[in-house]
Order: sequence, then C-alpha cells, then structure tokens
Amino acid sequence: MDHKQAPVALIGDNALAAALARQLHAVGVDVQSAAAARSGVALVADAAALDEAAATLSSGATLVDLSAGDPARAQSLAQALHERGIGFVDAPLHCEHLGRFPAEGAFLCGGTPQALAGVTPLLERLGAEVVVCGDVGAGHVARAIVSAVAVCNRMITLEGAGMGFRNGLTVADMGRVLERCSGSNSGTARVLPAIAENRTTADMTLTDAAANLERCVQLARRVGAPALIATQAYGQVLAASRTVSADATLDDLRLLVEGGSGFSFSQ
Amino acid sequence: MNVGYIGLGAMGGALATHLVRKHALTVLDLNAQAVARFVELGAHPAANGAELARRSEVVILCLPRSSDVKQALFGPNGVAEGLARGSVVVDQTSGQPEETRAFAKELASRGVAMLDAPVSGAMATAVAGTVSIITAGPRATYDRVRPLLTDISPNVFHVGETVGNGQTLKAVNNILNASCRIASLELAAMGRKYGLTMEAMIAALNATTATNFSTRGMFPAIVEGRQSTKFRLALQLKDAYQAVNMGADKGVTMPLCALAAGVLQTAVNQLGDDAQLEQIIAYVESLAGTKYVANRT
Repeated sequence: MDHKQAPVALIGDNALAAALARQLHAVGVDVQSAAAARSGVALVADAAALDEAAATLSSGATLVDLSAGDPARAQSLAQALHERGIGFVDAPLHCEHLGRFPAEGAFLCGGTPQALAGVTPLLERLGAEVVVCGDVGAGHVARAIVSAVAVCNRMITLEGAGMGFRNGLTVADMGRVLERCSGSNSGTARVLPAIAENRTTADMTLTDAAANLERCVQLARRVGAPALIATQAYGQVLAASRTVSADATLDDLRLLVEGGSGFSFSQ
Repeated sequence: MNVGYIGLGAMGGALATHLVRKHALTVLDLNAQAVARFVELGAHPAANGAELARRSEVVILCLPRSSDVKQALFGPNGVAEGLARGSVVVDQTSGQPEETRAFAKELASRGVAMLDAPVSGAMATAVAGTVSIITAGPRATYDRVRPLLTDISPNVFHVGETVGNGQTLKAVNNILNASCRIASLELAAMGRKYGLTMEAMIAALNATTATNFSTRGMFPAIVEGRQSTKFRLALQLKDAYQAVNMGADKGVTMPLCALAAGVLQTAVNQLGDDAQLEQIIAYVESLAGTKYVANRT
C-alpha cells in the first residue's frame, strides 16, 4: 500500500492522539474519518479503541496500533485481521514529552515486512525516529523495554546525583562531567542539566510511567526473565504516583530521592 | 617537569605512558616487569617512595585503594619523607574521599599541595589519551599541574576546590555505570526471550531516552563478539559498595543502586574473586535462561 494514496484515519481521544493530529496536519496529511479510511491506514492511539477500529476496516486496509499494548493481544488481533485481508503493525510511540513530539520520541514497530513497508513511510513523514523491531508484537515488547530502561536511567542517575550532592558536588558539575564518562545516560544528558537550570524534561505522568513499568514487569514474568532493577523501579514509581500530586510527571521522581533523603537539589 | 609515577598497573601504566616521553619520569611499582618496561622507555626506577619524591616536583599515584595510597605516602621510606615543600601530590586512585582529605591535610602541614584526579573511561581511552580526568583541589594547584594532566588526556575537568570531590564524582560515575548496565542487560535478556534481536533492541534503546553507556558500547560489542571491558568484577563491586555506602553515610536512599550492587555480589559469589566484568554478560544470560546472540559462548 502506498501511504501517499491510501486515506489515513486517526482514532483515539487522548494526549497521544492530539499530538499525532497536530503533526499529521503540520506535514500535510489529510486525516479522514474512520469510515472514509476503512480501506486505508487506521492509526489507533488508544488501546481501548482497537477492536472498534478493527471492525470498521475492510480488506486491503492496515491497522496501526500506536498505543502501549500487549504483544500477545497484538498477535491475536493481527491473526484475526489477516484472515480478513487486513494488515497490522504495532508501532507504539515512546515519548517522555509529547509537547516536544516529534523532536523527541520514537515509533517502535513490529509487523510483517509487507505491512511495515506500507506504514513506516507515513510514520517517518511525521518526523520522529522509526525503529523496526521485528515481527508483530515486537514493537510492544521493545516499547516496554525502552520505557523501563529510560526510567531506570533516570532513577539511577537521581540516586547517584543525590549521593554526590550530599557529598559536596554540584548538579551542574555532575551533569557536565558524567556525560563525558562511563556513567553517561539519558539522565546525565537531560535530567541533571534540567535540574541545574530549573527546566522540565517530561510531561509523561507518573501514573502512565507506572503503567508502562507494570506492563514491562508482567512481560518479564511471563517469560521468566528476572528484571530485578525494573521491578524495584516499578514499585517506587507506583508509590510515587499515588503519593505525589495527581499531575506529577517523571520530573517529580526527584522527590523520591529528595524526600526520602531529606534534602533538595535546589537548596 | 620532574614527575614521579607510582602504580604502573593496567590503568596507571597506560596513563604514565603518556608522560614518559614528555617529562623526566621516575617510576615505582611492586611489579619489576612493569618498572622495566618504563625504564626501556626512558624512565628512572626508584627504590622507594622517598627516593621517587626527592626526584619529583609532582608525584602521581594510581593504586587500587586509598589504603595503598596511605602506605605509599606515609609508610616507611614513603613519599612524604622525600617531598620538598612546594611539591604537589596527585592521586589518580579511585579512592575514598574522606581518606584522601586526611592525606591532603597531613601533606599540607608539610607544605605540600594535593589534588585528587581519578579517571573514567575504558582502557582503550586511557591508551588513546582520551580518558576523562576528574580533578579537585585548590585552584592554584590545579592550574599549575593542568598542563601535565592534559599531556595524559585533553579531557580534564575541575569539580571544586575540595580535595576528594573528584573521587566522589568518580564514585557517582561508577555506580551509574554499573547500575544502568545491570538494568539494561536484564531487560535485553527479556527482549531476547520474546525473540527480539540485540540489533533491534540496540536501535530502539539508543533512539530513545533508554540510551546509556552500555547500550552504546557493551551491547554492540556483544553482537560483534568483541570484549568491551577489561576490569575485575570484584573491583566493580567494590566501587558499587563505596558509592552506596557514601550515600548511606549521608542518609541518601539509593534502592536501585543498592540492588544493582547486590546483583554484582551474587555474580562475584558465583564466578569467584578473579572473575572479569565481561563475565557479567554470561551471568545475566544464565539468570534469564537465554543468550543475547545465538551460539554465543
């Protein structure tokens, strides 16, 4: 399918859908209704809308699951759609700051080569990174891994920086030096400078972050992989999502270290 | 400049190599072969620390532990016995900041200034002269020895006038490196059990905020069948415990880092004190019951 010809629908009513709608408009993609695009590409931004979206599609269409989902469900849905002549790609977006999409963020894709060939050009046109991860479901697995490692990077960096800060180092010095050393990670590159400069790095809520980690931990248990660090991170993020404010974001994870240790990076 | 270098092991030897061609270098190490190699390069061998210090304006140490530094500085025939007032001691050991501050105070009473200047980077960067040197101590002393340090590597950082800050930052670096590695290896093992290739996971991790030193270095090396580290596992464990203990001493909660240290401890218990850091790859594979690359041995 040539995405330049196929009609495109965007299904979902959440922050992800809003960000995608903005960017689709910005790059000149004319978004149709689900009915008008039933033989084209249906971009589904909300997992709750997958079944309904699937039901509207006709043979030759492709359903693109952009939500953070389950690989087993994706494989089951893909098989059912295949029997109706409909393609499927899981392409969840990992983006810690939707307000900065597509400058930040990456689509992590799974699907058959044919389905991917028909969809990845459209995703690439949006401007974010597009990474092909494997067969159907691989996108969801990859996103779970990426989400968890990203949060672990951040939390490990906050813990280490907390130790350094309490032992006399400045956040600015730690950010500046660690980024040139073997401890470098997205936390040293983004989080420490943001703390030093009183900026934000994320609009992803702690509730969503906890859901991502729960998904990852469940996937790990399903295949017997002992994700010890991620499991510990999940418990802490879940607790934080329930004790910090309702609109707390990933940036507020610093409170775990600060509050638990009795200091503030800002003092 | 007349420079003395004590500790010609894997890292110290690599660092000192950058100095022997540019300065009048006096060396000291328990390993006679290591000393002989430097003599061949033009260095002068010292019988003990005091003799080395008498021949040097700046004495650099790169030893396994602060206890070794203490012995080298203040033990019988130690460096302190031979230092002239106005000399400088530079400690490149990944040591204990509080102990280093105590050494600095003692040396200051003898008219000798001190910096700590631990390094961070793979052995290859030390050999190539691109390792990061993280220094701390009086600004005037730093300004005086900076040209010497930049002969080792241009990547020199000054992180404050309090001696020991460099070692503190090195400790932060070490625990970040170790903990992110364990977290990443565990989750990559999960990915392998779902059939994702390491190549796909590397691409995904490094295109996002999941990127870290291990996803950029160790992971591609695994795919290519290369070794990416050259370090004893027990020493990484020591470094991890040092960082976590420094946090505990100041009341800082570090649960993820402490857990990572625990995983390293189980690895040392299983693999032995002489195990190499590279073996952590196979260890995490065994914990997960998978292989990062099919047929990887």
